[in-house]
Amino acid sequence: MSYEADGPRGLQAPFSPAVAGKWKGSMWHVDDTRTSLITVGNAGANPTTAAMVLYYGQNESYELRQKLAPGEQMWADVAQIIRTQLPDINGRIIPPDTHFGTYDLLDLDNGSLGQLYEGKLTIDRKYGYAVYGCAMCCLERATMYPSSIYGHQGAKSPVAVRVVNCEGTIDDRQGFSWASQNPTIVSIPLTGVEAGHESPGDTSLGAIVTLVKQGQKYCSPFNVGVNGAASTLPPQTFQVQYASYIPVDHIDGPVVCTIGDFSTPLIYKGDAGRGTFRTAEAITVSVGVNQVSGFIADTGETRNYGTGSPANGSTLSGMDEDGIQYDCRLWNNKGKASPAQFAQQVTFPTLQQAQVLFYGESSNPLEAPAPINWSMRTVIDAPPAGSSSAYANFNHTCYPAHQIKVNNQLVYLYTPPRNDGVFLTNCLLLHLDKVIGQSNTVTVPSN
Amino acid sequence: MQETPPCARNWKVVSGAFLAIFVLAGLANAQGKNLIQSFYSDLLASYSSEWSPQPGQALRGADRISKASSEDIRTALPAILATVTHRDARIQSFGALAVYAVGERSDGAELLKPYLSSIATLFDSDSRLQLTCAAVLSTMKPAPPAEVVPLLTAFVEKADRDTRAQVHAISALLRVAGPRPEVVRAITTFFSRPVPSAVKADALNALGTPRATDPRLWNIAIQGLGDSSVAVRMTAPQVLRRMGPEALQHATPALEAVINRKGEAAEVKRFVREALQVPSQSR
Repeated sequence: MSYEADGPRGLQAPFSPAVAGKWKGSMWHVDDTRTSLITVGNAGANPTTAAMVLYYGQNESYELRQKLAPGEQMWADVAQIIRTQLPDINGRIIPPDTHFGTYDLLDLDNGSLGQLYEGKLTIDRKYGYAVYGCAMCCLERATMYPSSIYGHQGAKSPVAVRVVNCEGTIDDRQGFSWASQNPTIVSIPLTGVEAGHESPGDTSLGAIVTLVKQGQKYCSPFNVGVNGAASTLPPQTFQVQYASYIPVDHIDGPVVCTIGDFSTPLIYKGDAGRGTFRTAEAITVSVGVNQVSGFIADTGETRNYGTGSPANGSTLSGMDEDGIQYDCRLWNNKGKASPAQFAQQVTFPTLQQAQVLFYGESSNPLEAPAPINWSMRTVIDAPPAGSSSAYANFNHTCYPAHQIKVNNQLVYLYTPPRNDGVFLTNCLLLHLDKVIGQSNTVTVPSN
Repeated sequence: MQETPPCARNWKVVSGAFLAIFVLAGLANAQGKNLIQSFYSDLLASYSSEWSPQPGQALRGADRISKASSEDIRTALPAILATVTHRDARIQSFGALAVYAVGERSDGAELLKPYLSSIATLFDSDSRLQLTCAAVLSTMKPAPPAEVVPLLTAFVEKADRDTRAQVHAISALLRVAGPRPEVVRAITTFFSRPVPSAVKADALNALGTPRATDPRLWNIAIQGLGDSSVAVRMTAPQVLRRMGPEALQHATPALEAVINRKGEAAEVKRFVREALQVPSQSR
């Protein structure tokens, strides 16, 4: 500390004896009687980037940065910065009418184990008194983050160590020496990052992390352990089934059956009460493990009947199956459309969701083409905890009936209002009145 | 055993419906209106570039047709045909569904016969309308008139039309005209062009009728046994079976070759076996 020999002006140049990665400075002043010179030096053996942040006004800040070689210092004359309107690294300036504020010093390359020391010169024409800042080595706390992890068998879960410093600032790190109490349930590499859910069960994970605390002169490092629960849930499997079907016992065919001079209308066997279908697709998806299996595409047999059917007067039955083909009487003909053009596409946008798209088209193989077509997207949400749900985005012809089931739970059902030739022409030839929309979300069982 | 005519079982229902239609038609005529004519005339009158069809609107028009009197249909047909030949395909859809509904009536062929050429202009429109046009010309009741044959053969022979609609026409031609030379020529022309495998399977299905008695048609199905598409190979034996015993006999060597073909899909072999097991003298 020194004073002018002929006046009241005094100078203090206090340097802190400690080194740290962050310094919470005290006040700086610029007015008629005071000005502040702030300095920060690199006490480490390697170059580092130092930041000096001046705070003023309500929430304004001004930041200077400089690469400091070992032993080098960075200086800031706050009065000159204000007077010359010198822009900071972000182009900001401190308004000329600003007279005081606070400051921080940060070691940007080395974090809490930084090697900065602080100095400040306050030229005080009145009292000759300076206050310097304090090193920020307050205790850090660490926990596993997330504090517990769970996922379906085959899935992976990110994991880290969350360090919260004395200001509440969060710093997620990896730590080291990660280990699992039971790696057959949840595995993790020594370096952490991602845990693997191997088989159903509960276990725990642990890791070591280096924190800092205030020493006598320096912020000193120390190791601490963190741990948390880890569980593997069985995979959730869903079978998604799409089917189209004729929702009545039989419908009129569009053409007549002719043998020589004899003609008779044909009727086509429907699916009502028979458990049969016109077109079908099915696939099994396992949410969490992103697995797909068991794709099935199929068509139902098409059978038409001529005069005398239905033999019992109302519904087709065994009495109509005379086994004689092409005679336009009772059972007349059969066919099976190819499902080769039926397709699927499965995506897993998240570990908890699967989307199954079924699409295709098919015609009655015994008639000229009048294709049923469909594009049905089923979205299944399967959170690790709680119930699973599904809904369908549908786009299909207005004939025949179309449905989506997930694990046998009906998710979507469309039943056509009519089954006559004009309606079928409207739907299948002209493709008018296509049915497009989204179903309600329903709870579905998981296997 | 004498068969009961198929239409007889519905006679009571039909006669009851005629009575109701007669009463309704009488009421409409008393008001000087023909509801069907009004529907299509109003549709044309209200048309503008901003017009868009309402859900079910085409059906609402067509649904009146089955219940109307023949006279009302005759009166309405010029308005209906004006929608068929309209420049906007959406309006044409209304007309196409209407003429299909007319053709479904028991007097449909008689009512539509004067307008077949106008209806066939739908073959120059989009694929849906081409398909519907083929359906109209081939399904009108009680049977399509002979005049549809040249319209359908001309359509099938064109290289720039919707192949699915052409398949529909092929099916109709075999049913209406049988294997006449011009029909076989149109069909062989169609199969000489490359078509998507799904359409080819449908086209083969269209040949699967006992009326396909021309060996050139059998050979088309036999070629399908060696197609690169499983769907086509799966369809071909079914088609041969439906063509009848003579076709099967003609195709037996080719079918047996499929049975012995290494790597052939099980589904294809299943249908081939099924075809070969049909006794050659059975129907």
